[in-house]
Amino acid sequence: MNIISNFVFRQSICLSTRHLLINSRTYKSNLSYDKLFPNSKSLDILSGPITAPTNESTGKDKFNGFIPTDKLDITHRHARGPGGQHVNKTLSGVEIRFHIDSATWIPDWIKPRFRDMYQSRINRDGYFIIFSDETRHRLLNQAQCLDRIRALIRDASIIPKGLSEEERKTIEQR
Amino acid sequence: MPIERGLQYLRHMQRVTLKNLPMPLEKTDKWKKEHPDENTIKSIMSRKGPISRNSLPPYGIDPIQAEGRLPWILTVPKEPYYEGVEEARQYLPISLRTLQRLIDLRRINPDKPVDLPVLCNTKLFSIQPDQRQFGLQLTDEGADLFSTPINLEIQWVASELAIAAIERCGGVLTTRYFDPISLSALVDAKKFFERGEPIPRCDTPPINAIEYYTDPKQRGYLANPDLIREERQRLAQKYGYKLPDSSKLSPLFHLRKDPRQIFYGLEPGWLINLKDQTILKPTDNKYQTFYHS
Repeated sequence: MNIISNFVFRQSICLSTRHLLINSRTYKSNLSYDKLFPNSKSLDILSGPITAPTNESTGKDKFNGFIPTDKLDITHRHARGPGGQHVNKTLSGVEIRFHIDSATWIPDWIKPRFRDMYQSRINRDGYFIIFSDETRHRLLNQAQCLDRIRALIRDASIIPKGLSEEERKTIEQR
Repeated sequence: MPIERGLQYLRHMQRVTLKNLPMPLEKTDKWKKEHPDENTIKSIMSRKGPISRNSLPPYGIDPIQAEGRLPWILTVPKEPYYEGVEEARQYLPISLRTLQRLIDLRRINPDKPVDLPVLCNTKLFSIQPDQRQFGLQLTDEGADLFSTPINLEIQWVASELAIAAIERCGGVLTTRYFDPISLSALVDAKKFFERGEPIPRCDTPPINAIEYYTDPKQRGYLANPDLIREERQRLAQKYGYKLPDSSKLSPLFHLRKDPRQIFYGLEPGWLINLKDQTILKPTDNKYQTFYHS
């Protein structure tokens, strides 16, 4: 059985490599991608223009949601709770730390508000720590940490409107 | 004047009786029979039953035939747990863990595109097109273990985590629909070529599947490539990894099949001769227009 499966595998490779090497014959039907999407900017999935933010937000703008994962310190730790050997052995908890003052991807006007609002998560050295071990997968825990960071930054960036003069006058009258 | 009219009747009619005289419609016996008033209705109808007790069944049911109870088909409750199971599509599951294992054991070559015939050649999955099975689906068990970049083509993905796990390692995922005739060709490729049939042209998906295969979030093969790129960036930001630089990737990851094409490198309409190692291509115009449409 092994020999036969090898034979088939080799045959299919030989037919496909010959064509890949021959370079060129690309089959195009009526449903090919250039006919389905004539107005697209680039037909390749991997390369091309994107509208979502791919760069950090600069010092004075609003936070645009981009977090550069190189600048975060991500560690995998043991998760808490029941689960026996599986929980003890696998490192599915994710802890993310970053230094607030040296983070270039947070706009400067949010940083003092951020430090005020979330004092309980901030270190003496100025590191912001967040930990998640709620799911069984490391990727999902990482996603949850990042989602929380984004939500906290957005909360810190909301400045309340304040009372206008008319409202103050009506309150004083009462 | 009514008197004049009466005298005219006397002149022109053969016989004048009470029944002959033209009366307003509502006073004739015929009309009264067709439109009985409330008291006559009550005297005709039974003194028992839903009508007399003011508990009529809902509209559409004859109260006299119902005999005071709902018909059987309405009293028995409907429990549609298996509704639509005869038309539902089935996909056999393959987890990221088994994929990684097959790559580590060298049963799958990650340097070549991994699609359905490659996975079926491992003989781990028996896909039966006549049992309404339409291919393989990717499950997210083993998402943390997966660590090879591959160009994967699968038929269904249910969870975003599976897509993110593949793209995190630098791979590419597309979901692709194959109709049952093409599927029987793909599942056992050698047997299909020995049958001596030309390679079929893949159909477009059925209407209840089009929404899935044109969705960039599921990486459908009929989705707009611009939107797919946005989704890749979105997932990279959500799960916290960096997308690889597209210029440094090998041409393997740019390979993609045409929506009508089944095998990489082979066009629909071609006849493969395994014994003489030749390929026969149609030259007639009508075949060429059909297979290129």
